[in-house]
Amino acid sequence: MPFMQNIYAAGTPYTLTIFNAPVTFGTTSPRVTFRAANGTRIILARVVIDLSGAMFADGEVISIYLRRTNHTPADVPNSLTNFQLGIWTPEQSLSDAVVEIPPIEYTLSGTPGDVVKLYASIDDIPHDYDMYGEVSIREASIIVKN
Amino acid sequence: MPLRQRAYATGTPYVLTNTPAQVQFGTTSPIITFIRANGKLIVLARAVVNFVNAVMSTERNITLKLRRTNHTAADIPNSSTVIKVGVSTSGQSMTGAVVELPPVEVTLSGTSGDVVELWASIDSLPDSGDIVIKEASIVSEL
Repeated sequence: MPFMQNIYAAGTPYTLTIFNAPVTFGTTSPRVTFRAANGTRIILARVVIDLSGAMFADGEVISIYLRRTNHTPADVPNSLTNFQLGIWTPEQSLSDAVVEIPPIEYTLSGTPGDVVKLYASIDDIPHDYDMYGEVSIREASIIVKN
Repeated sequence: MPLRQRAYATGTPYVLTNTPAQVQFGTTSPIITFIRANGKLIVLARAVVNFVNAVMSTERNITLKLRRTNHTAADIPNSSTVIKVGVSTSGQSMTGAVVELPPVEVTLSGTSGDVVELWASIDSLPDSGDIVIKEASIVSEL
């Protein structure tokens, strides 16, 4: 059975902030719009987090989840995953992290056109005294099946 | 979605090179030969990348992808992922990486027997030591 929808993000990567916000790429962002009003769908979502430019004085936590942004906006239950980062040391830089959110069975709202987006945040921006950097999401996808 | 075609690699792990190539294990490699000729199938692939005393003075990029190697060979669209690996100057052990490739919908070529393989490469070899793919799998519908 083929996917119903498959969204692969493209364009400029998304830089994480301390605010929960939709992951927005320069060209195509990870979001799906459901045509049907009722039923359930399986959703798989995946990101690659680029940590290479960041300095951390303390372990930070990245949160990633799905959120319906219309028809009574709400986080998609059970979709949240929290990913803890280590402390940066001068001897090593951090490798990318591939993170899959938990597979979800999403129940449509009853109105056609549900919009579900990938959201993310970091609990503190990277810093180490006077050194700063960024944490970005460089790849992202959302896959939907019946 | 029953996953009826499966390949779980076994045997000697694959050592990455700086040339894109099939991930070959000592006994069983991650390859699927599709029985059907037509249609669209979901394919999921996964690899575990380990660092064996790898010293890298600069960051490296590892690329993993799926590739059909017959019936007009071509990379599978949207299957590629690039993982940036951090600097390791001491050769101390680095944490391995579990890498799930993006799930993809593969459109069969129209001729039965499409062969889809896991391919990998690194943009520059480590200064010393190895980077290996220690586990790999490809699963698909029938």
